[in-house]
Amino acid sequence: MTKKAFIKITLKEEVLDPQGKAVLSVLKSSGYNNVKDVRVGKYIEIDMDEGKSASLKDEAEDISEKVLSNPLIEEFSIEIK
Amino acid sequence: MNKTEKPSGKLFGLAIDEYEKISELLGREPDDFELGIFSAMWSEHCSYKSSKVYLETLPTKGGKVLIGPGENAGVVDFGDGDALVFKMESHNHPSFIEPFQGSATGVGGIMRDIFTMGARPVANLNSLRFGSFSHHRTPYYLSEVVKGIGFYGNCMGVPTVGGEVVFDECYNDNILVNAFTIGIAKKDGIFLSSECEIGNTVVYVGSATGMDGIHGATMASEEFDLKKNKKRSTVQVGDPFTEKLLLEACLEAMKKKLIVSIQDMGAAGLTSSSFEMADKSEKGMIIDLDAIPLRTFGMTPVEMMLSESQERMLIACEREKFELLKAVFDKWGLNCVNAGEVIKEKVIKFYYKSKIYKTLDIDTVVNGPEYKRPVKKPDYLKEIMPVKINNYKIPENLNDIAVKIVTHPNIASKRTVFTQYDYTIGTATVVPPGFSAAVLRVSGNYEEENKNKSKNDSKGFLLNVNGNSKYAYLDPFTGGMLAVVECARNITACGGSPAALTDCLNFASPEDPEIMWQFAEVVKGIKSAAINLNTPVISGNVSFYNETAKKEGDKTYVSKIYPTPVIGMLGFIKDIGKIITPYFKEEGDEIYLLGEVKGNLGGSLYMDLAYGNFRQKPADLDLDYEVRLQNCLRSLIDKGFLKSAADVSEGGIFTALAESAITNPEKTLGFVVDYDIKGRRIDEFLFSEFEQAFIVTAGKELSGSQGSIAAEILTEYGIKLEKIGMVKKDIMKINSIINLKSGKIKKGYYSVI
Amino acid sequence: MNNKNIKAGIIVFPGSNCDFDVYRVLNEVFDASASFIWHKDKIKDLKKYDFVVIPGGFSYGDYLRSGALAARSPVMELVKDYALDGGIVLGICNGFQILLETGLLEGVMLTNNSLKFECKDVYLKTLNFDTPFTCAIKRDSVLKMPIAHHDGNYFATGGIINDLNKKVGVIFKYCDKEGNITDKSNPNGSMHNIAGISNKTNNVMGLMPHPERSSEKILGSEDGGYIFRSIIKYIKEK
Repeated sequence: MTKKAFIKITLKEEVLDPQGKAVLSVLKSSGYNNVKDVRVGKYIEIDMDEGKSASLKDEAEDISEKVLSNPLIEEFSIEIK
Repeated sequence: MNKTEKPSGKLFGLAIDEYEKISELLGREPDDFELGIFSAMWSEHCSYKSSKVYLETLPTKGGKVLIGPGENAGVVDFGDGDALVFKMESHNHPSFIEPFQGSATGVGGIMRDIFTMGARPVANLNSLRFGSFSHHRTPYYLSEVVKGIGFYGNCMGVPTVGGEVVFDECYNDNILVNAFTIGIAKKDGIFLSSECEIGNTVVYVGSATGMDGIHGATMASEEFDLKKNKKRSTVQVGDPFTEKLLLEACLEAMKKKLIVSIQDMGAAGLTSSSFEMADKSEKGMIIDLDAIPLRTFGMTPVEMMLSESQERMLIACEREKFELLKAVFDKWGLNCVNAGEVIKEKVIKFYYKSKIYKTLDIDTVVNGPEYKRPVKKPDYLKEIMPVKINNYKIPENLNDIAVKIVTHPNIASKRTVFTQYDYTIGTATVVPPGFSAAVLRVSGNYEEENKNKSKNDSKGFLLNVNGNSKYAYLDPFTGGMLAVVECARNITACGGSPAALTDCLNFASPEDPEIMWQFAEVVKGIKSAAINLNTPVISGNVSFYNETAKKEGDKTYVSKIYPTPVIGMLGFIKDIGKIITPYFKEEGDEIYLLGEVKGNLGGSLYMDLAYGNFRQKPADLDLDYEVRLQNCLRSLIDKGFLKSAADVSEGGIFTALAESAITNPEKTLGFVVDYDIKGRRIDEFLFSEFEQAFIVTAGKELSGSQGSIAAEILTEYGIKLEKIGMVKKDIMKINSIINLKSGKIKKGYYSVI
Repeated sequence: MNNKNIKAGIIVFPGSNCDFDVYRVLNEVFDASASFIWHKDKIKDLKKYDFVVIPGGFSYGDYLRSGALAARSPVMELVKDYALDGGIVLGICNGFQILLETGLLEGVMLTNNSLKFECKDVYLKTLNFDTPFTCAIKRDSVLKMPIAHHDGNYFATGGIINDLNKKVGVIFKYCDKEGNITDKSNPNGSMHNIAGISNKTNNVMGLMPHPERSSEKILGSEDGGYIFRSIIKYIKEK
């Protein structure tokens, strides 16, 4: 069975997000007054085979930690459907 | 931060006796805030405590030097009222932890050092060291570091015009990223950090302060530990877009004369900028911590002081001009806050929550320890002997070895690296990366009213960065000398005159007497070459502790880099039309050897590839001869006699010839060389490195109508010029031993990296 | 050559960085009167300019998407009015990306197929000589100019491409030194080797390579100068 891992990667809260900052400034100057802050992240979808090995979630977590993100500055969340 | 514990071993990078010294100076144990400040200011990175006694011996004056070391960067007179401002700095440890952000912020930091001085950055170069080319982490580091450098430099609109990339297993656990920036300013438009006046408003400008790189300065001064991340430090993130705005805002404020004194917030952020500015100006400061714009809620005073958030500056401005200054930064959408005042008393008074929080004496904080650490000649050097070439049988497959040498990752083209950098922006790059030295003209018309335009647009300048750590390891003195000499050769080979240099000295721990000995010897070598070539040292940086504790099975050991002095040099040329490039121009041109070939293979790539042993003593350098040789070459180029010139560096004469043949952007050339090697072994002739010689080409006129003038020049300098062959198409032949196809070599040369 | 009466406006966004280069080349090499327009300048329209250049750079850091944030700034409304009124607009590199994001030109720029920033010389073949940007280019000539971008991989749907072809809106294609349009000469994976396109009325052009960096012999090529020469010629003859 094929399942999908939906992975969101964002910068840790204390890490500067230059992209978010630039988008925020344009949104503000465009008159979107309700906007308070913007953070930009990455979104990744992975098709996975439900094999015999450990749970897909563990594997996706391993992938996210070791390959997709840099744990020093980023954090991630995983959803499997 | 935890409550101070009794120090055991090291605390924030401070040694026990340093901690005790602080307690003695304060008359009590330091609190967190004080400890944070002292640990940053007394770190190797900020205080140069181990290197100062040696650095002070370097020549820093004379020639065209306007401002030597001590400021954010050094300044050189470029004539016509123009000045060039440059410096090189390391960002090794952050780049090892997070190669993209580390290299990006390294480039950002060095550019700030330049525009703080009132100069617009006009070119970047870099010197990169990675682990062995086959090491599994090397592709990751290479790709991320190059991306980071490009990301920052390209966005800033500053061309990256040159550099070097070297692979060696001694960098497997400690990569090196050294970044160089040069800027152009008007001689009378230089800004310093030492000119604060009593009553000036202290102004914080640029990005808000976050938790970035807290304790970066102390991190840069510590070996990487087996258990990394012991201190929760956050990585600095670069925002080149904000820096571009900061650049324009600062230069605009300077042009409007709204700034009295200015310093970049680099390592140790607000701490070093405030203490150093106050100290150099012989004044004191009030710093209002409540005014500091924060990105992270609830930061403590010591965190604010130690944050290394990027893209920030500290400015002193006349009180009545603050509103005008703020208007400039408002236009560029940047923070600009009144954060204190310059005072007479030589202390810094910190206000926090509207009350006096701390008062620290500037002299106490700034005048940290200075060490003359123990030195000891390393044991390994006992085994390093001159090459006894007759103990080695000449290999039968010299052609194969020749191919291996020119396609070695350290020789092969770095085109895939430098094409990731914008090197054409600024419309000033006359000779792009990939050749001896980068050559730039002065296209500088950066202001709408043309005010900053140079009065002279026929002049140009040349840039090169260089260092060979293998040689510095085998013979630190010669290695130091060679780094300087090699830069000068690259500049001279284009027709330029070396003018001044900056150095980045990358070493392992200074607490190891053998490392300290290497350091002392390297500095001696740099000094002697800099004096002889008349290229004063105007700025620089020392990076110690490039070593990592490793564990393999039960064994633990320390992986140390070779001593790696890197030199960045500036040269001038009066008439940029006279520049020559190192590659052959036409079939039928004559190839000459200018200088002498001594034939010493110690430390050479050939010894490594043919016999698996490079650990022999490199040849000595005759500096007096070197100066004459370079002056002679420059004269010949100035007379217009030469079409190309290439120095004989790594890979020897064969490599110099091969590169000259295949790097012509328009065509593939070759050569036939027939040279009487007079009883010397052919491999010594082909592959001896860093010979005091150049491969040059000229049209038939040099042996004809121009001959007598050329002969006079050669006699004047006492230099030999011998015809050794001719430029051909497609083939590479030397003395019926080497016989290769240019096309095949070219393909290999451009496809390794 | 006196082109002082020809007025060029160079739009400057935060993060623009080829603005000085364009300014210098127009004023010094072509002796025209170029001046900067800061994106927040309080001006009603751009009518006083004979042509407008949107220079390269990293407007707003190119964060989000290249050119996306600049395209939404108020000055681009003025550029739109100016263009719809027949004004000549040249977008170079990031300027091209901004024109795409505003909808003045059709299509999008994807990341280079190498996934890397690419700085190198390329060769260009001109497909339409009947525009303000190309009227001084010699037929059958191949132009050498540098590129320097991360996102120059032009993409459009079939309908748009057909339209572009029909209206001769494809102005420049990447080619080899001899003028052959080949895959090998395509530096970024751009669809049909497209390097420069115009709108249907040929008064707005986007170009990925940098003509301002190749207008002087000392820089290795003067070919970029033909673009500026064309614009000046067109305005003078109008």
